[in-house]
Amino acid sequence: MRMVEEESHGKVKMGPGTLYGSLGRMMEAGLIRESDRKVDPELDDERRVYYKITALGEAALAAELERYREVVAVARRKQRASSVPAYGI
Amino acid sequence: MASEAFIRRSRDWYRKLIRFYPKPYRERFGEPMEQTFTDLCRERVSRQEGLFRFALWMFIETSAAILRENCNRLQRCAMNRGSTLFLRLVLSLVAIGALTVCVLPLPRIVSQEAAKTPQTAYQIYFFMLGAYVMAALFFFALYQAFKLLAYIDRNATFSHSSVQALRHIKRSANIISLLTVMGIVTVMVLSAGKGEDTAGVIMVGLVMTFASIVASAVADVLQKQVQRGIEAGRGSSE
Repeated sequence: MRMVEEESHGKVKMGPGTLYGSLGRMMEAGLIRESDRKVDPELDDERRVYYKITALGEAALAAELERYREVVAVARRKQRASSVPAYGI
Repeated sequence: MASEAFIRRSRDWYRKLIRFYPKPYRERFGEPMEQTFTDLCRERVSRQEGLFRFALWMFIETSAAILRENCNRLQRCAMNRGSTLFLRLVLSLVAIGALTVCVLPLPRIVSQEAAKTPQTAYQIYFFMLGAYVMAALFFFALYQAFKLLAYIDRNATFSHSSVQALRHIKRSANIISLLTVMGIVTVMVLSAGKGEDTAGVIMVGLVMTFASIVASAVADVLQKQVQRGIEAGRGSSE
């Protein structure tokens, strides 16, 4: 949650309701699953649950990134076209 | 420490708030959410930032999420039950109608008729008893129909339980039609030669017999279909 806030420069604030709602939906869709691997044994709390991205999740992420890339490319093209002065009658 | 006491109290309230989540969700995420809430509050205190506004924001945020999860669940339920929802509604209306007839006009008609002819009142009461036995059978069949719809919702249409429910419906309908025919015959025998107008009663009886026979036939056809489905399923799995 802290990471989301930091990376969005404080624009996106995520609370437990949104976070666990998203986790639930992603688990239902098979995009993530619970992981047995403990990331940081030093800081670990027994109750802490870790989640891992699945192969389907990776594929969905790649597809979504590709979609964003295309949207950005189209927007850039449009921006460039509009900056060129138009001549007409 | 004042802040620790505040966190503990807020956590208790947060736990109460989480209870409004749908049960499967609560069982899965209730505890981690509570833990996260406490962790975030402690983190806030360690950074010496205000706690009250932050806790209030989390309560509002979680309340919105609870509303969303419950709406999603309702939507999913409605989608799953959409096909049988209409039938459930029809069955409920039929049940309410039948119950109203049994509770309100039937006893009144019977007592009026019994008062008109006190010497043969026992006959009227005998008919009332028969009517209530049939009503009990009718409600039993309706209950079985509801059970059948529940099996359909649970994707257990082709199961022995649904065959059993259909068999119960068929038997109830058969007994109702038999009792009605017996009632019609009795009315005809009792009123023979007395010149009483029994056409209305006999008409009602005939309609009831016809309806029960149709219900029984439909249940029989469905039962055979379901049985065939079960056997086909067993054959393909072997």
